[in-house]
Amino acid sequence: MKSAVATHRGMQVLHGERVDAYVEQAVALLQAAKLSAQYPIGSVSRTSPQGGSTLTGYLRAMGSRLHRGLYPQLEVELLSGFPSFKEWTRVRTDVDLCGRVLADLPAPEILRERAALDAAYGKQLLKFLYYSELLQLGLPPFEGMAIRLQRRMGDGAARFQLVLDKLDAVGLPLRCTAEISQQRSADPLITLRGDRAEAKRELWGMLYRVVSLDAELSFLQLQSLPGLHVHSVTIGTVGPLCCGSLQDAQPLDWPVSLCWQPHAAVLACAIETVQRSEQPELDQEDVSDRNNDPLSSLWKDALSAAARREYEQARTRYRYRIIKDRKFVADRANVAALKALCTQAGTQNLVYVVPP
Amino acid sequence: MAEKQKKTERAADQDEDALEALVNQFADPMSFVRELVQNSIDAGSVEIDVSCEWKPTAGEVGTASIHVDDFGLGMDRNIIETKLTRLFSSDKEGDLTKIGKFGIGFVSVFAIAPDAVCVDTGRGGESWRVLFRRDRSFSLIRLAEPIEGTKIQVIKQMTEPEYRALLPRVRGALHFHCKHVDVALRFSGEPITEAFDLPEALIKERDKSDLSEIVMGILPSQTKPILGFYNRGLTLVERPSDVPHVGCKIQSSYLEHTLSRDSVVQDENYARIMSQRERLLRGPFLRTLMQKLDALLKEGAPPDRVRPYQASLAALVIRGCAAPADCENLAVATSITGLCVCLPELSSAAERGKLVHARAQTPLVDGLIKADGCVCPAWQAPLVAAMYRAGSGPWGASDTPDEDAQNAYAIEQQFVLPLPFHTSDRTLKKRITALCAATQKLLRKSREKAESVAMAQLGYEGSSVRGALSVVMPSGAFSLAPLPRGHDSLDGTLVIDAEHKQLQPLLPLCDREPELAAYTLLKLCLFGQMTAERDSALLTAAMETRWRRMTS
Repeated sequence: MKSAVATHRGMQVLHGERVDAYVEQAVALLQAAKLSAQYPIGSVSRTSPQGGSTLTGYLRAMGSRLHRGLYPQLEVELLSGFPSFKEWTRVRTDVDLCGRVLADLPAPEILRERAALDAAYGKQLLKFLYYSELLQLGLPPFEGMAIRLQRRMGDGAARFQLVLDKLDAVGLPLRCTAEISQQRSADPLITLRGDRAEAKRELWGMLYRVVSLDAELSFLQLQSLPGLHVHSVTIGTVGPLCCGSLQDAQPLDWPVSLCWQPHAAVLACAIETVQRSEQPELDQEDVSDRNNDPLSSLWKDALSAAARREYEQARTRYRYRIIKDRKFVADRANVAALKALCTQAGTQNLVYVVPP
Repeated sequence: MAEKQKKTERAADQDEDALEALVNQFADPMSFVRELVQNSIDAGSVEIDVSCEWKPTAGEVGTASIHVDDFGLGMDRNIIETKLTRLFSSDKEGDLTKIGKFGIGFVSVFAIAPDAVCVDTGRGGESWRVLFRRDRSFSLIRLAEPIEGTKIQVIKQMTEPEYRALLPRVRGALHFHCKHVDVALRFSGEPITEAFDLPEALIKERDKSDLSEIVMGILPSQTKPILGFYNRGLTLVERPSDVPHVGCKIQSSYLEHTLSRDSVVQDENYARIMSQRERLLRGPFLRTLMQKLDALLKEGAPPDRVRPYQASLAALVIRGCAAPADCENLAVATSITGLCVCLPELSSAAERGKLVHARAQTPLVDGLIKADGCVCPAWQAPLVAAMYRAGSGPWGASDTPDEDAQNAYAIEQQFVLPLPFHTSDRTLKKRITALCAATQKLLRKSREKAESVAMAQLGYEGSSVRGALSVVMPSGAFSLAPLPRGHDSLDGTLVIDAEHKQLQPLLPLCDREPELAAYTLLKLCLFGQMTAERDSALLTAAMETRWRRMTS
């Protein structure tokens, strides 16, 4: 007999009811997180009072309530607490196949009639129901890149907004939003056709690689590209997520005091912004870095004395500030522990309480 | 020194006037909720909660507050001091990714003359309260508790009945201005937003391009169609549609409202968007409309079901829309005999002046059909009238041919067909023949142009000259002809209704005094066109003829 939970290589494999318990907890945490457009939320459902985003849509599609047991297990990354890349890809593939599968299946009335006589038709009926509901969710890709023209600035220069959604190395969903200007150039990285902007693969490739590091490095790497002037880089990361249905979750930098109860649920959402200070008259408080994240420090704090000198030169040249913030969603039992964590770190963080 | 002080005071007064104008920039003071929702969306919030509450204080008066809470980027001290509390300092102007433009939206919260406005906001670990007083002065207070996004409270003293009246106004303003926003907007927990769509449309077409998203559909008769303009789901303007029964919603980040928010800026982008709409209207929409109309007519759907589609087609025809090549053979109307008619057939009949509508199948209708005309049932009058105005541009404010215009193309307004008179009464037949002969003789004698005189049936059911004693037919007494306008000329055959009651006393008179009977008949026929000279000529001719008859 299969165990309901199995772990291997930083992964936990959930089966049966455990899958639905996990999906339910994760969805509840994400809904309570009040994620803004700086996070990889995709579009929310505007007509349901609770909303519902791309992330919750994907998670629901991984639960057996939606797929009706068509998939026997769910792999979850222990570092992020989110399903593995394979699971996201599985849902994405199913979304792409929806139309074709539904077109090939007989009508549900016929399937219902035949299901009583032959189990194969029963499975086809479940497939029909799953793909129909999946189609209704209208899920966009979980990874994607978009560029939008913000404004033309004269003399061929223009300002753009780049948005990149991806899963990072440990499986955390993140969104990077970069605002950049490009001067007129013979070989521009971004081209405009009318008001439609297109970025070269080279630019997307570099952004895709560097956003897994942090916003400051992404800012500096982007700034190093010819003809670009970076105004800001914001990275919103959803997770890690820790819930009682994951017995062996081990989120990075996560205090052991959290998540010890079987029904516990904690989600952290970080936002990190690097912003060029474009108003020289601002006073010191307005340009200094601010770290309101109790779980991470500023990159510069880890530098050696020699590296720091070089770093300070870059800061002077580009005149930017770093703002880090993090909020939490937790079950009532974990709120006190989280508050204590913030107090200890000297930060003021929001802790939303997830309904029981 | 005093002069300088006066100048300063004058400038201050002008600033105060300008601020007052901005505070009251919208016709509806409740429009401030749209401005706050717009700011929340621009701040990246994908959920916005609006709610109201009332707390009793002393006596009947209590404290009402309208809350608008978002979970967007929020503001730090720098933004509060340089953007929120400074007019026209928005950096959103010209930014295609934002809706707000001018940096004057927030100030509209003062339009309802609040006692206080409290803005709690946080960003990057710093949280602030900005407390605006009634005179719009403010204090900035650092908060100890973290705040996500921006939470605004507009506070005003009022009685409970006043508060009860306020609730539907807030809800109404949200629903009107923000119904299509692409975020989860709630009022007291209930969703306000709805899909960018025309859910009640009978048929619809969509077009999405880099420029705009358009949805267009035919609406049921009881729904007033609108032409709406939206930017990121926020309503800019909604006005009555210029195409009957066709509702249209246009969403584009290129659309902007004017500073007063009561119209859309009609710039180059607006023109491009309207061209896109026209292409959709004349192409895919017209095709879908014609296909639907064809299906309905072929299944014999009742007029009430067909009417909205046909009225819309009529409007499109007037705008100069031609059937797409693959739709030319589709039925767009039916003839009164129940045959399907396509647009080119209608067009050809209208060009020949032989397209009309009728209430019933009558001998006149049969006559026109025999003469290669096209007769549609009366309920299809708008399309019939429109075919005569094809490509002439809007008919009027509503693109609909008005009732007079529709009536003008009723068959009885266009054609006449006297029917041969038959009787088995030999005396009557003899008398009629005698009266015809006498009348013809008198006309010839008085040098009137009439070629001949004939007796016919004019008063049959559906006749265009029912009730008339006579009609002048230009080419033959019993062939279909355009309805003559007036009786000035008797150029043709004078056809007299043999069964007309005015004729009856003249028949026995004709036995004894044919000239007098003929003269009286002509006087009756030419009533209204009779001049003293004409009367004198007819009378003289009658008297001379009589004298000759008596003396011969």
